[in-house]
Amino acid sequence: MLDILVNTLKSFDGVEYLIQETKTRRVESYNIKKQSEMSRKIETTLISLNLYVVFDEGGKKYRGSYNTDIHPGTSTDELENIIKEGVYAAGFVKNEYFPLVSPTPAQPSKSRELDTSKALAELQAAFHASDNHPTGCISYSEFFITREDVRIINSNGVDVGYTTHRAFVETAVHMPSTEVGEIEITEAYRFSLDDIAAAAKSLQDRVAALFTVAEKKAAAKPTPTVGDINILLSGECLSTFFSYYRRCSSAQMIYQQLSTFKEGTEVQGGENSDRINVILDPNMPGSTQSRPYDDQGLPLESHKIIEGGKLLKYWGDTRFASYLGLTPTGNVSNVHITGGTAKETDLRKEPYLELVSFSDFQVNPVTGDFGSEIRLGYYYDGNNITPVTGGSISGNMSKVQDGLRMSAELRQYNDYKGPATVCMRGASISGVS
Amino acid sequence: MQVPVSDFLKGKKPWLKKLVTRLNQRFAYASALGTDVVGKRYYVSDKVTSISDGGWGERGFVVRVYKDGRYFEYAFNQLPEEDTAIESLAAQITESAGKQTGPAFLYPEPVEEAITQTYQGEVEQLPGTLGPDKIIGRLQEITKKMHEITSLLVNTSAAMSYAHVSKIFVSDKKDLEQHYLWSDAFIAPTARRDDVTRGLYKSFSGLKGLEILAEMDGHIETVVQNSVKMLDAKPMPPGEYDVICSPDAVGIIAHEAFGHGVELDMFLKNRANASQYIGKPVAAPMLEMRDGAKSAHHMSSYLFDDEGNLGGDTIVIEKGILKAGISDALAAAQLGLAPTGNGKRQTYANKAYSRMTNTFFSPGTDKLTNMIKSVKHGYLIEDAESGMEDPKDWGIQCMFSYAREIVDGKVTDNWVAPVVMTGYVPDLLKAITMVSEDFALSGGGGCGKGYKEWVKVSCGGPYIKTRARLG
Repeated sequence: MLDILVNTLKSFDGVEYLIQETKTRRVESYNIKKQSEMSRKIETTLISLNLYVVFDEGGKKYRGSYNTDIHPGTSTDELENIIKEGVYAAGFVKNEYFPLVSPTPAQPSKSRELDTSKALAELQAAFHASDNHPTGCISYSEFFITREDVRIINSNGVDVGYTTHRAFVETAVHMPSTEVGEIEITEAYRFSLDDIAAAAKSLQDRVAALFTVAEKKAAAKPTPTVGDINILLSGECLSTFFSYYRRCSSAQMIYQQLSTFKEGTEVQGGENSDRINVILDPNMPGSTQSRPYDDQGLPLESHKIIEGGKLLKYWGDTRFASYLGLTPTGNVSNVHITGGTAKETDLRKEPYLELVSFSDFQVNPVTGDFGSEIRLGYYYDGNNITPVTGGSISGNMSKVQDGLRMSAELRQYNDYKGPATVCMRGASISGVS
Repeated sequence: MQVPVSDFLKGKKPWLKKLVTRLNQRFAYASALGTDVVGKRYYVSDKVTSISDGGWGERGFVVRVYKDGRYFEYAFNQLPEEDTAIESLAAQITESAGKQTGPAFLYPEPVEEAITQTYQGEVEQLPGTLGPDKIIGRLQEITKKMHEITSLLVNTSAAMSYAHVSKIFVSDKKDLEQHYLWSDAFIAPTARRDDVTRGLYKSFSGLKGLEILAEMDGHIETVVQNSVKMLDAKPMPPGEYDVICSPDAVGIIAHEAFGHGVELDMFLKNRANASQYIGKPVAAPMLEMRDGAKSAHHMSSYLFDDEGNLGGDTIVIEKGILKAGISDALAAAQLGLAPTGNGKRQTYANKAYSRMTNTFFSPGTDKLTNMIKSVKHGYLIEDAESGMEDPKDWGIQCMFSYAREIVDGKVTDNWVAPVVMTGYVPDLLKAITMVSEDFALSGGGGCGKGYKEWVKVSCGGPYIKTRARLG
């Protein structure tokens, strides 16, 4: 299919293209408690085609584009029609000109064979072995073990590829509660399968931690109305919290005037805070987002974009970097955050409300607003620590950066590696009691 | 204009039937779903324009087989057109299904009624009747108009998408076909003054074609003015308030707070508190809630779901009493119920779950003006952003772009943003005291289940007055 498509494209004069072919092989397992509910197997091939036409208007150069999916079984006649239609439509998509990625020496291939069924069996065995709480239990689990073979080709001569293996696990723990009968806490885990044994161990650790969270939530009291005390955030919500800095540093958001970050200036705000460092790392072990090339075929390297709270450089793919006159970094999702100076225990010395589990913690990178319903927190009044649940947190990044403290201890959640805990002031808590 | 059939599926159907016939020789039950969804998304912002597939396109097949209480599914997108290759594919599926071992949650053998039906939707204007130049040009006019209203906008965007959905379902007893079209669109201004940036998003949706473009014009002024008003919005003072929720906000409450909790696959996993409340009061006596492909003519209206069951119209809450849930085929069979036609997949490659379709609270008899007059101090909540389900614990998380303060029965110009609504679902629903005669559905976004599985739905209802915790 790919060869037919490329040959057909070559028969059109003046048409440039970018093709990404993704072959997906996935096994899925669905379980209710420890019983298998259904098994599934997926084998698909999908081609994403970007067609480009370059044209001049008023002495200025533009690149028009048209994106479409090509499915297996598409006939040569259909392909010709799709390309004709796409070329015509691209002529009305008047974007600033940008270059396509040029060929580079091939990256060393890390491709290896992985028996997805065997990996599934090993991970499920490790997972179910963790389901041994005296009163609580795993309610359900879903496992997705995926191999993807990606090939990227463009009309400049780029022809690169790579293979990824990843896992996705979704589950919930139920725990008896004297307050409400039984509570539930849900989580989803995403990780690469570079090392199955390490992944299995990590999965067991996460499940053990989930049982602890469930125990605490089962005993939790309503979140109190707190005054001006330290608010601590811990856990996977920090991946979302710190994504604000990555997203606001993107050439795409700068180009579209959706971010006010400026190169060479302080972007963290506040003088009394731990100064943040942000590194984009395309090779982060354990991350499902690690890959040697971005989706346009540009080889990826590590880039430090923020140091000491100051924006060193914007990051961006070939298109948006070109718009700003920058060297492209490529699109890297993995974020490594450092800069914390305190021990986690030090952050907990004064009275605090520490929030560790949310319904759906969200940050709006354009406005800086963040918020969520609280599923579990810990309130420390100076004497006792009480698990709490309910109510919500809301705030704005610009209001909480001054005085922001970060733990020196780091945790990794898929494509985030950074502080395990942060401490802030200025967020609003809507308590239940 | 009638939505055309898929030539691709028409050509593949005989081969899919052959595959199912062969699988029926090996299994107690076999069925297959074929999909061909062709979409386009036209997007214009101040500096970026694009035409793409839009993210909802798919073309492929999923086969489901059943034997000895166990189900297995195989999803693929290369269906051979040759007898020996079909036989080989059937053998491959049989081998994969045979590898299932270990303890299993056993389902009863599926029972199907013989049905042969075809459905073709209708729209006013089919895609293809307007060229890309015209559609892009129309969206450019909208972004230009937004800038003409105020100089405070740093970015504007407008987009229009459609999906031409074609599906076939075949089994020993069923032969079903459907072809319909949905469209959605949005306008989104981003305003900035000094270091405050606010954005708004207004969506449009329905079982429509390109006629949806004409709906956007009448809302440009209001959306832009509201985005400017939001620049002066104060943080929401945390507390419990009387609130009037618009149909858009009510939709999020109906969908996220309650709808996910009556998806019957959650009952099987003991994940829904609602399982303990069938036949019991869960809401104010005047409240009715419905869900179904046939409950309304909107984003998730279809002839049959992704398991070959005909779409229905389920009364979920009647006079405040929880009456019934919504089901996929497997959950219904296990619970001894008739399927409600709510088995939906993100694509052919995804599992079918119990999913919402068109979910709403039914209109009442109150006038909106009287509802507002009845509020001494509270908020009018009009613009939904997102929500998250919590069916086991019935916690609420609904996010809204803004709210306007109501003082002594009048909506003031005091804006707060953003707004997070939390609480306990039955408390919120039982606190409803007024339900307006208005009614509107919207379906511009997508609905996930847990952390994935995005499908198109609609939700909405009338204005309601209730009491809620805001932060």
